Amino acid sequence: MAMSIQVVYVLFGGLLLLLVCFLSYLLIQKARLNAFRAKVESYKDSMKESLFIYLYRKDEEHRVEPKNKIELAGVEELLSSFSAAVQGDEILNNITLYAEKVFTPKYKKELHHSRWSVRMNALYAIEDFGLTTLTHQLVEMYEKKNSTAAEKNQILKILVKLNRPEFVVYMTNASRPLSEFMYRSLFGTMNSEQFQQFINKFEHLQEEIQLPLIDMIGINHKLEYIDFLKMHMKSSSEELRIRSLKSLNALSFPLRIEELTKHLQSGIWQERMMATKLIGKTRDEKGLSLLEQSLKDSHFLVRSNAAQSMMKIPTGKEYLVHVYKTTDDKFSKDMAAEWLEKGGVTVVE
Amino acid sequence: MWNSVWHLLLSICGWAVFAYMIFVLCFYFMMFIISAFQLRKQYQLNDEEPYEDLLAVSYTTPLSILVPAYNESVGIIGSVRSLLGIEYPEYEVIVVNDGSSDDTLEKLIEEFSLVKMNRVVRKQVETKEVKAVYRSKLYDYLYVVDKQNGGKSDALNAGINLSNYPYFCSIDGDSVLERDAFLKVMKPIIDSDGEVIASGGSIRIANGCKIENGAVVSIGLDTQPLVVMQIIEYLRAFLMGRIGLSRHNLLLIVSGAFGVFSKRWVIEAGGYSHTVGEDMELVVRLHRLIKQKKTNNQIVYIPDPVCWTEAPDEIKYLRRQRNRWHRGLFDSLWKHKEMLFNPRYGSIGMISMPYFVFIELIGPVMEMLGYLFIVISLVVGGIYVEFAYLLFLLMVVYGSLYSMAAVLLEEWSLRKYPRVSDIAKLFVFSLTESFWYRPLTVIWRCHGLLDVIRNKKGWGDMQRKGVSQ
Repeated sequence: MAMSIQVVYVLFGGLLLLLVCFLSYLLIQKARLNAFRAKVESYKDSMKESLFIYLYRKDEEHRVEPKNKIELAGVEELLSSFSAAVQGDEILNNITLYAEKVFTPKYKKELHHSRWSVRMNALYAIEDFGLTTLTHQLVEMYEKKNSTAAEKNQILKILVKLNRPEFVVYMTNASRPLSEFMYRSLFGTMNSEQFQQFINKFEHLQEEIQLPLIDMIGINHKLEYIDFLKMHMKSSSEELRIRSLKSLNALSFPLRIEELTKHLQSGIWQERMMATKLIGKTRDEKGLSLLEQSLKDSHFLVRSNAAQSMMKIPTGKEYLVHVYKTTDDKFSKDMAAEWLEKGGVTVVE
Repeated sequence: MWNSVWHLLLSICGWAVFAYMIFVLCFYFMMFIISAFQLRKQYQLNDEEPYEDLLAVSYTTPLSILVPAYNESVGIIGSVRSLLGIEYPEYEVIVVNDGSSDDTLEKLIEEFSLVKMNRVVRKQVETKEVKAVYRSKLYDYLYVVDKQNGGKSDALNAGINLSNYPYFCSIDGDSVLERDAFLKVMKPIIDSDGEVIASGGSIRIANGCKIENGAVVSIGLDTQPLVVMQIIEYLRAFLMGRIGLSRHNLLLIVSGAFGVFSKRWVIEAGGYSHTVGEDMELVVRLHRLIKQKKTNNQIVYIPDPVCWTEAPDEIKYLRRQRNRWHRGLFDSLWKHKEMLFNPRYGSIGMISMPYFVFIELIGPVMEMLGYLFIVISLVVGGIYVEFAYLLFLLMVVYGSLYSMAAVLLEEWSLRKYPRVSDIAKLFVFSLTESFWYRPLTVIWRCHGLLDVIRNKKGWGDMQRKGVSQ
């Protein structure tokens, strides 16, 4: 026992010592990093104007050449805040040219760093500055087996922005599908030719790519694709129908009532809800009696949207007051009261 | 005869505590290693870039923020203000006044020009009667529900009924969020296409930080030892415990003070239930639902987004809080006791539940036995003294050294505290943990367990000073 307790004391002491050593290391690191940050900040203050003038006018006299780590970090941060704040192709182009010259070796090295966050930061910077010098490395990195999903997504975004042909294959043949948000984000950054490329091969895409593609037509107000949406609102896939209706609604496109009646009878409440929304957009009084039926729907959101849509049709307000006064259906009555009040009509029992 | 029985008992007790401590130390060591790798991976990751996309587009999943308020007159305006200015593309704030007896509602009405609205509420979860719904004339995304008092869980359920968006977040009325906290906490949900059904961030202590208009201006340490110890305790619980559990989808707690949930899932699980630890109980129920539906949904913890909350700075209130927490823990585990060691619930039944029962719930009892053993052995003397030293060292490793390691882990990865002196101070304080703070919490938690046995319910009063200046 006596022997073993000695060992334990030693172990305990060792552990404590280890922690204290690590603490000292971290404290020194922290002090150094704090000092480094202070220097970077003061360098940024002194160089801000010069760098800005150089980037704006290409005035070689003001060209900033970072010489050490502090200056490199300072310039990188300044450039990043400029690129987020300024507009105009010329200055953005100047930022790209300057960044390519100054930072290419740094990012090239960082793309191979063992720590994930360093690689990610480099990828973000490459996107922000529009660096074209490292695309070859990016493609290589994408193909690597152990690249994480976040890295691959970021690379895809860069490839789309730089319009590198690889992105189409990467997007359609991803080993595991990207998230819906990611597809939307990629379609959102595409130029019209890139977008059209996907529309052309729509039938051959998997549904998880088709849906966000349809969404983006509505979100980005691509009016030229209305016929495309009208075609797909008749699709046999429920989800495609709902999304097409949703995009048509986002485009505020007035369809004809006859085109919508079928969707009002759908077995899926989301489809019925989108149809009631679109009936409001028609502003056609023929829709009012249909909406009255939807006010009795089994789903809350269909009822709510039916009342809301009525208010959008020219004589809808009066119609809704009439429904409110005459209906026996408690759900319809409540819903009518809420939307009438929102529309500025006071209802008194 | 009695003497030998007594010695035998003492020795069994000593060895039981010893074995237990060794096991727990090994378990936490594993968690520590997992956390260290996970945290270091994200060291110095750009703070804004990963979330720029979410912020820039209109199709980022919208979010309802629920703020249950019961007699929060002091802090409510500050916390609502902080929520109105957060960085997120589309959200609504729903304050639920849970029948406060003070002027919480009046203050809200005046500050935000609230007007009554006639709103049909979709009752998806049963709640006490909703007296009125108000809408702000100044901010069209701010609503206030006035309802009969029914407790925090009832208030949250009322908020869920009124909410318009597919995800909701519950926030305590007295906490302050970092501006980008929602972006960070929603990211895993959006990235996973909804496979993640709940996600929670870190909770840290606001005492000592400078807070203006509902935003943290500078991070610092409080001067009171009792508060500093809680800061360390939170670091340890979140950084060492939750990361490891979250990585393997074993997380049974998403803090009530700051967590995002999928509304659909919560409604399907039946909403919040009326219990002391409603936040944990809900998560257990969600896990249960996942296993029953045999899906791959996950519940995750993300260390970076921080919700700053006010910690009790008096022994009296801290004792009540810990007592309540432990009762809450017991309640949640007791309600779902059939999941324990039940292979039908997979890793939740075989790892999570045992972890929470044997380490979190029973832990204080074993530690208490340890302290008793040490005291008795030192008094009795003889053969047990050395063993008592040994046990004491183990308990110091468990209480102090692991806390010190947690402080170092924070500095090695997240680095939220700006000054060198902050870290040194935290380190020194954590060294003292085993000698005063830990025994105190052990006593309070054991007391909580005793109260459960004596079947004591309720929250106990909580004193609020308000964190915002």
